[in-house]
Amino acid sequence: MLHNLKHSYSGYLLEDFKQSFHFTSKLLNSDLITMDELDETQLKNHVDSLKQQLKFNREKTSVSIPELIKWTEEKMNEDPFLNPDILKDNPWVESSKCVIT
Amino acid sequence: MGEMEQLRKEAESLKDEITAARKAVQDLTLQDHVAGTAVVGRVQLKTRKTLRGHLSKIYAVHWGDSKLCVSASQDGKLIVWDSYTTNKVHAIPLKSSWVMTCAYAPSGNMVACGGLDNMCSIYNLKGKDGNVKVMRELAAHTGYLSCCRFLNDNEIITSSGDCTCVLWDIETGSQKTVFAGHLGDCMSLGVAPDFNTFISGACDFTAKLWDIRDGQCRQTFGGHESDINAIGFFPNGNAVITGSDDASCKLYDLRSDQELITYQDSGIMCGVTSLAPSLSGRLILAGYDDFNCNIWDSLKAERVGVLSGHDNRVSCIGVTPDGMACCTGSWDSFLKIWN
Repeated sequence: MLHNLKHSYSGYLLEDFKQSFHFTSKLLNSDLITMDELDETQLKNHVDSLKQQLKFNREKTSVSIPELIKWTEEKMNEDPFLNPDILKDNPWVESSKCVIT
Repeated sequence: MGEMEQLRKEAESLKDEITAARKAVQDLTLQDHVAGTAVVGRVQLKTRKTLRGHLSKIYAVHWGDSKLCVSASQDGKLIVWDSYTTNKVHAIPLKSSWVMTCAYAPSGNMVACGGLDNMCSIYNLKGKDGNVKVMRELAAHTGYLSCCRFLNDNEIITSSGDCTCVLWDIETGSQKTVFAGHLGDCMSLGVAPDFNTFISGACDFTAKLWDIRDGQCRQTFGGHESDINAIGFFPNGNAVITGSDDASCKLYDLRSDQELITYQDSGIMCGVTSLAPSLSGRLILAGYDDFNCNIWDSLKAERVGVLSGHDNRVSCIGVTPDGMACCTGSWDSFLKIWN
């Protein structure tokens, strides 16, 4: 319960808020739901969703990985954090000229 | 065997089949393919601007375009910043100061926020009299609002502590679609570059890919050992990056439906709070509980840089659409622009 909240980022946020905010018991009880706790409808939906997900048409990694890498390597030339030429005109750095308007 | 017991067995069996189907297409790993690739050189980004004005912890930041961004703080304000000049374009007082997320519409016409009030409030920035007012309050979630992202000026997606995500019609204030299936609080969401799908990360340690129009969960990614706090699409829309309380980030390939690599280091023992990829996706910037941001080479899974300068947890991070800068927001009440 509470210890789950504390060990997650949401817990840090909620711990912070709790110091001066009256929270609902629903928040305190926001636990990880296990399969045992699902009712019949939820369990049926869970099974149906898994059936749908199984149908997904999976590509071979020998095809998808090289294409991902190729896309990234081609884009790196345009990536301002990797190509210093792009940041020669840096909107967040004042140019040396002072302009009186 | 009871109906419930049968369903549980069926679920377990389907999960095993999915695991087998993933293995069947795994004829190459990312590590295999980049064995001959060099790690990128050390990346050193400098603080170019510090945005000062919030009086308390910053929980969220989102870029509208490559100049304007909106931030949300526990001081009960949304501030729209001109990051070039550090000027505050708008300072919007909120009804509820317990804000956890904010978003800028792609059009630049609206911003949204929400948190412990369980609502998503939409603000019109381009009202006739120049005043920024609440345009709509989207209420139906039974848990806190953890994240929100606009699809356009009339549609927004929210994620909630009630374990669901929702697609809203802003004009009518109604729920168009409820995306249910996560077994724990939904903490974060990201919209695909083509706006057809979105991803959610949750406290059930999984990330889910959803079809926005038919409401179906297409894929579920596991592997993390704790809550997923941050999630984002790889810039080409074909992969997903997650950040977790288990101190790691992971890259999942959508096309082969599996995890490609984990970004972790024995020296990092604290949770990931936020993440953003650089324009090419070669770099992943991730904010951590230990006040730093680490920069990862996404293909080689090595740390190639660090953003240090905040005096408290980095709670949020975002890269501009043109990739020219990133913004970090912290519990120290400041936002920093880096490049």
